[in-house]
Amino acid sequence: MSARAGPGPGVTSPASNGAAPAAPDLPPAAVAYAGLVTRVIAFVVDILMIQAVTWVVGAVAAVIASMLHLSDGLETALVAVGAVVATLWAVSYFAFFWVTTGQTPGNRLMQIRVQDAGGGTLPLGRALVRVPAAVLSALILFVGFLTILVDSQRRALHDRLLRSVVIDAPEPGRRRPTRPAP
Amino acid sequence: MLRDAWTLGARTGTAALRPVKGGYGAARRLERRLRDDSMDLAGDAALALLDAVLASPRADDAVDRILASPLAEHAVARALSGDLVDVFARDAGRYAVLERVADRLLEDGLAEQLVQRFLDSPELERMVALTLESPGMERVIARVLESKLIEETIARLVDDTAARMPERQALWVLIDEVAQSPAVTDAITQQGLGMADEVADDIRNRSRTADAWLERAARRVLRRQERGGGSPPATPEPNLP
Repeated sequence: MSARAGPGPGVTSPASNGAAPAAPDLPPAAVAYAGLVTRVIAFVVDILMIQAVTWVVGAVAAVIASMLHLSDGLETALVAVGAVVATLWAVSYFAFFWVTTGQTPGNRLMQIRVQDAGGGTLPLGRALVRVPAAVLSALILFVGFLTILVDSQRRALHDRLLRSVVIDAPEPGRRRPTRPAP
Repeated sequence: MLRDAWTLGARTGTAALRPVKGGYGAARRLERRLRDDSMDLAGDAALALLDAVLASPRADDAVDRILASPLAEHAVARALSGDLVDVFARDAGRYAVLERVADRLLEDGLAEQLVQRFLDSPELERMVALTLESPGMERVIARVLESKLIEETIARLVDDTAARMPERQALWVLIDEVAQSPAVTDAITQQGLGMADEVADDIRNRSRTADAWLERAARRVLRRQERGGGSPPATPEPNLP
């Protein structure tokens, strides 16, 4: 069954769910929501990009610190500062893309988009909170993410808490990947 | 005593015969001179006669008649059928006649003139056209191209060229120029993007397939638990199969 052929798992119409109207660039008849595997792949791509930048910057900082012959206490403090900066970098990475386009590079690769349940992009505050909320969903064996498998809108726990959804967002002029029939 | 008498007699005889010997030598010289003069006179007369004959208007007619006569044809036939040709061929090779003639022609520029005249003639063009259009030439060319010699020659030429090409600096300069040309870089970029798009499309399709499979499995598990745990839900989840 194609995603556009009719309602199916993760495919709902605004009338049926009563809460999530279609995104402005999608047909109003149906909204296709991204599944668990697709979201995990996009998340892994984003993590790899974040870690690549973090490793490069951290390596450069470590080389510079090694040349300055810093004391042990100062090095410990710098490591702590680096950890905070890395965390802020990761949070700002996701928040920036969710607020601006709703698509991180990983999301763009998988052609999915994070948006408000009512349509449109997430506001900055909810985007900033969504990152630690996603960490909360990952606690206790990723139970918060497993709700994607059974929710009609394929929402994880942090999606339910922050009223966000992840939808399929094929590029204009490109075919949407066919979804097999259940 | 006897010896002295003999020596005296010999000297006396020699002195007596000396006038006779001088007269004989003079007569020999006179005879030789007369003979040389007569030979010169005869040669000059013969040459004068030959010049007169060659200058005569009858000479051309005489030569034409001789050449047109059966006698000339017979003489030529006899000459060609006899040993003369073999002798001439043998001696021509022995004394390098052809090489000398060829060298002389080349030195004088006659060969070049002949070749130039031959190349400029329309007959050559006509002959070449007829030759190329003939089926026989086509068969010959086909056989030549299919021959093992041509195949081996081409293979050796390609091998030698391939072996020598990396040594040519100009080749690498040409490769660099081609590789850095905008058309090539654009083509490589487009090809790379197209391949990346295909890979991404494949990943997306497979991920969607995996999404559906996981959800089916999860719903099967949940139904089993719901049946084992108690009553089914009052209202089924919307859009669940």
